Amino acid sequence: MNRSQTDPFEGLPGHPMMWILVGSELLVFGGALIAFSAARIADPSGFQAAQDHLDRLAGLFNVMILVTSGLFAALAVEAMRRDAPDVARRHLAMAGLLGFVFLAAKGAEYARHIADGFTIDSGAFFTLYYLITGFHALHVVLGIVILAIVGRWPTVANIESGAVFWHMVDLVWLLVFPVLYLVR
Amino acid sequence: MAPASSRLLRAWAYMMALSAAAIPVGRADDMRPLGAALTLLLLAATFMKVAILMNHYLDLRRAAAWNRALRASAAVLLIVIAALSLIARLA
Repeated sequence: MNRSQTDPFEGLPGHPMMWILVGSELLVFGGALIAFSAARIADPSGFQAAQDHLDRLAGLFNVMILVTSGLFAALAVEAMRRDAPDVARRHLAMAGLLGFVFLAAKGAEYARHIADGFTIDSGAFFTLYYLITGFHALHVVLGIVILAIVGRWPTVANIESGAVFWHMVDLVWLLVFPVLYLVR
Repeated sequence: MAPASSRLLRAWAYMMALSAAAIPVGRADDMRPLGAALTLLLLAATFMKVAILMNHYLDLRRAAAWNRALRASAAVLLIVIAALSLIARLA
């Protein structure tokens, strides 16, 4: 019996447990985005009025930051596969640094909302907005920690696993941005 | 530059271009509701970005069955979101 008949995770980069984690996280975020879209049906005009207070360009900026950060994570994997751990570490450091830029931009956005009087209690839109984006921001923090750990012990499997988690964080924001900021 | 690196740079450029296109497609400077066509176009562009990320960043080209399954899951999610958004427009 060959490996493809025995290993359901064949071909997936990184550790299989990371994929189980990523799959469960995608289910949680997918469910949250469906819940957000369903809640809009109950109050479409209220959701639109609340959404107009979001800074759509700030949301786009964060998409571009995470897409660029993901590029560095993917380049780190390629470097490690070429047996260039120092290059891989530099790419991981850039990916993590851009993660901090994302968090700073998101923090500034939250500060503007709060200064304008929009908190987690300001209606269903802002409750779900803060829950979804806040939970995502926590994953960015965890992703930065994971990138630092795999950068400290750089093997192909470790860096692939770290990059898989980071790309999941990126993928989720690709979905969050249009649903929360643009669809109306 | 290694072929893998130039492939990743191309993927990055496509995703950046699709992201930038979300601003005019999503009429970011306009407070009016998006029409059904623009909503579908926006979510289709989102699916394209997700597919590129899965193919190249996550490197799922090497795991075709997983790639198909994850892409199909993303497509179902975006179809459900599109349907709910269109229902909200009618509400």
